[in-house]
Amino acid sequence: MNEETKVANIRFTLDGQELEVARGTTILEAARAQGIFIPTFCHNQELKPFASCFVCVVEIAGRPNLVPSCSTAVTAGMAVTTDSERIRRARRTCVELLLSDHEGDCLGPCMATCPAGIDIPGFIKHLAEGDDRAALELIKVTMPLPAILGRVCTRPCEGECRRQLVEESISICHLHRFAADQVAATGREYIPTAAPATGKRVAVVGAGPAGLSAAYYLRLLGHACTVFDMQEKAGGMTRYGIPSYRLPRDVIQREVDVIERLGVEFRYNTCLGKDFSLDDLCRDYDAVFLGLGAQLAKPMRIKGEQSAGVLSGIGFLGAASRNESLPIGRRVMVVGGGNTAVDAARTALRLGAAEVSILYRRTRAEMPAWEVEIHAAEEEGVRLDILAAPTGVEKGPDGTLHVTCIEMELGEPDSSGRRRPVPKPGSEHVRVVDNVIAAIGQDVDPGACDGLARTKWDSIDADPHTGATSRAKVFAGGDCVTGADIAVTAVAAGRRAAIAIDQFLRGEAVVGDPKLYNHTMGKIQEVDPKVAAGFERAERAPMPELDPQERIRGFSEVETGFDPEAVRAEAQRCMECGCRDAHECKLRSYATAFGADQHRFGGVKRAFERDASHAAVVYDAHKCIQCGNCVRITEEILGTSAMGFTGRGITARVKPAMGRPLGAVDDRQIDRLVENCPVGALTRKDDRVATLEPDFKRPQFSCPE
Amino acid sequence: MSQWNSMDEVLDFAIAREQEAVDFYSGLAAQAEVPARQELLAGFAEEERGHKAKLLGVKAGGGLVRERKKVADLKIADYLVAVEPRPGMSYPEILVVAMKREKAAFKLYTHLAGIASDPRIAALFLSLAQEEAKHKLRFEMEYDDYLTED
Ligand code: SF4
Ligand code: SF4
Ligand code: FES
Repeated sequence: MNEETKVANIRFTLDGQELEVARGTTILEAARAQGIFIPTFCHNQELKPFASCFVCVVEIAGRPNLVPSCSTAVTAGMAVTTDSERIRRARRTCVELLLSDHEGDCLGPCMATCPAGIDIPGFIKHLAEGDDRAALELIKVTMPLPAILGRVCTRPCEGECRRQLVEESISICHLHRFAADQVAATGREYIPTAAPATGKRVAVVGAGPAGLSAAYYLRLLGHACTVFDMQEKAGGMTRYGIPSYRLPRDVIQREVDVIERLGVEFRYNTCLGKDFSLDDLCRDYDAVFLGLGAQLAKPMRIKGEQSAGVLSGIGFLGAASRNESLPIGRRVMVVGGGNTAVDAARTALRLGAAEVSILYRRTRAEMPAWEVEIHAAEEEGVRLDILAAPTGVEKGPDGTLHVTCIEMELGEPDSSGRRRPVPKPGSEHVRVVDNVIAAIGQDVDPGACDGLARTKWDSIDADPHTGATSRAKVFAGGDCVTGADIAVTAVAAGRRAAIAIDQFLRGEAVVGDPKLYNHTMGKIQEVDPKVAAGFERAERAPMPELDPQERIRGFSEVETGFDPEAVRAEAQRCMECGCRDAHECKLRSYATAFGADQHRFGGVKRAFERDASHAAVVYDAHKCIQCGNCVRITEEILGTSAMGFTGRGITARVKPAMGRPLGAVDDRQIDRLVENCPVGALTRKDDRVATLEPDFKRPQFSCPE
Repeated sequence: MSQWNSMDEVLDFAIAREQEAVDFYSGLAAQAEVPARQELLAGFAEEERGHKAKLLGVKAGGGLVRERKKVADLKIADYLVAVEPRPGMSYPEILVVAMKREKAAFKLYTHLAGIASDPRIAALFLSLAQEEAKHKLRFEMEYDDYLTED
C-alpha cells in the first residue's frame, strides 16, 4: 500500500463495532489492530498479498461468499464478521485439506503412544549427551515413576518405534530406568519444587501407580495431599502383585520417598469402607482421588475351588511380598496366561517348588503375558501347558489335589474374528499336584466405592479425561475405573485427574489435560520406509541378566541394568522422530483450535521427501503446505530465486529453485526462510524435536499470533 | 409331555417358555442394585421378548429355518458351578445364570425332539434347540472375553 492511498479515513463495522480506518487498510490489518484473532498461513506483512490458503476468510454482509481478509481492503459502510459457525467450518475445511496432503509426525510416535506421554525423544537426547539429570527431569514432567515402570512397563511405545524400520526398536523403557537409577545413585535425588501452597487439601485413596501419580502432581500444583492405603507400604500392585526379582522393593521405596519428601503425607494400614468412609473424606477434604485398583481375584468357578491348597495368583504374590510363610508344595499348577500367572509360577520356583506348570486355555501366541517373561520362565524351568483348562478340583486322601483337566482346540473364527477355545471331546484327564494357583485376572471390589455410579463390571463410572465420578469432589482413575490394566495407564490417569482436580479446586472448568492436535504418519506398518534412509544399522543394546540357575535360588533382580557406555550408544540410535516445529507450527495450532481431523479428506499420502544437503537446515518437502512464503521472500525481498514452485494447482510443489539441492541456498538467506515457514517444512538441524518444559506445567494452548 | 399333537402345541409351549424368560430377567432387573446392570438385564429380557416374537411369527405362518452350520459349543456352561439367582449379582454371575438357563432349554428341546413321533415336530424342536444354542453361545463368548487372564 503506498502512503497516498491510505490518507482518507473510512468508517465500517467489525463484529458489530463501528470503526474508522485509513483507506486501503485490509480487513486483517483492521482486525489485528483491534486484537481480533484471524488465522493466516500465506499472509506475510512484508510481502504482497498472495491469497492462496483461504484460512483467513471472513463474512461481509450482503456478499454470498466468504472473502480472504488478508487481501480484501475495507470499504466504506462494510459490515464484517470475523467469527461464526460458518467461518469456523470453512477454516476447519481449509485446515483439513492441508492436512490431507501433509505427511509427518508432530510428536514422535513413541511419545504419542506412551499412555503417560513421556517426551521420549527429548529425554533420550539428554541421555545421548550424557545429561542423566536433565533426562530424569524431563521424564518426570509427565511420569513420576520411571524406575518402577522402567522395570515393569509393557512398553507400548517400543511397538511403534520407527527405529524398527532400520533394525530394532530403541530400548526406551530401560533407558528411563537408567536415568532414574543413575540420578538416585548420585545420592542427590531430583525433588522438584512445588507451586506455592493453595491451602486446599486432597485425599488420595490407594498408594498404587494411579494414587502415587495423582499425589505427586497434586502436590506440585500446590495442594496438600494425604494418601491412604490399606497395606503397610506403598506401591499397590507393583509391590503386592509383582515379585521383587522383577522389581526390587528399594526401587519402589525410592520413588515413594521422593513423593514423601515433596510433602505428601502417607497413612498406611487404613482401609476405605472399614476405617473411614467416602463421606468422611468428602467432609474433611476439598477433593478426593480414588485409585483403588482391581483387588479381587477372579474365581475359576469350578468344583472344588475352595479346597485347601488352591490359591489365587494375587493372594499368593501378595503373601510372598509380605514374606508370609507359604506352604508351597513340590508340584504347582498355575492357571492363566497373563503376567500374574507367569510371576506366580516363577515365584513358586523360587520358594522351592520343583515342578511348576502354567495351564493356559489358548495357544502361547495368545498368552497376554509378556513374551520376555514367558521366555524367562521357561529358561528357569517352568513348563507351559497350553490348550488346556481345569474343570474341577478334588482333594485326594493324601492331601494332594486331583485336578480334572480338558484339552482344548481353537474353534472356527467367530464374527469378531477370534478363535475361541473349545474342549476336545473325551480329553478329560486328572493331574495330581500339591497346589493350584488361579491367576485368571482381577475384578474391581464393588464394596469399596459404595454410592458411586458403577459400570456393569462394578468398576467406577468415571470420565476418562478428568476422572470425575458421579459424586461432586470425587475423582477416580486407574484399574478401579478401567478394570485391570497396565501400570502406565494408571499412572497417566493419576496425572490427568490431578490436573482436573486442580481445575476443580481453582473453580475453573474441569476439562482435564488439554490435548493438542497430533498429526501422524500412522502405525509402523503404514510408514514410508524412506524414513529410515541414511541411518546406519546399530544393534539394540541387550539387557544384561543373571544366569537362570543363579536367579531361581533367590529373589535378586534378574535384569541387572545398563552401564553408562551402553546407554550412550543406545540413546544415539534414536532417530529423533517428531517435528522440531510442533510448538510453533500454525497448522497444528489451527488444527487444534478448529478440532480438525487428519483423515476427513482421504486421498493419496504425500511421499516422504527429505533434503538434508544444507549444513544447518533440513527441508521436509512432505510437510510443505505451499503457502509460498519462502518463494516470495527470496523473490520479493532477497532478490534471488533460491526457492521456486514446480507444477500447478494441487500438484504444485515448492522446491529449491532450478532443481538444485537445498545446500545450494546461500547461508545468509536460509534463516529468513526457516523463520517464515508456518509449518515444520524448513527447520534448523540444531533445534530439538518438540520437547516439554522441564518443570511441571499444565500445557497451555495458545494461538501463535 | 411326551406326546405332541400339533405344531401349534409345540410352538405354544415354546412361546410360554420365552415369556417365562422375559419375566425371569425382568424380575432380576427390578432387583439389580447397579443401574448399569438393571439396563443389562432389561436388555436380556428384551432379547427374550424378541425370541418370543420370532416364534409368534412362526406360528402365524412364517418358517423357522434350521441352519446347516453347527452352532459352536464352548462348553463353559458345563464346567462352571451354578449360581443361585439373587438380587445384587455381579455381571459374571449373571452370565453364568443366563448361559445355564439357555443350556437347560437346549437340552430340553433336544430331548423332546428325540421322543417326538412326528418328524415335522421333531424338526421343529431341533430348530428351537438350535436357537437356544445360539443364545448360550452369546453368553459364553461374553464370559470368554471376561477371562482375559492378564
Ligand atoms: S527412534 Fe527415537 S524418537 Fe523415533 S520412535 Fe524410536 S525412540 Fe521415538
Ligand atoms: S517450505 Fe515454503 S512453501 Fe512450504 S510451507 Fe514452508 S514456507 Fe511455505
Ligand atoms: S489467504 Fe489469507 S492468509 Fe492465506
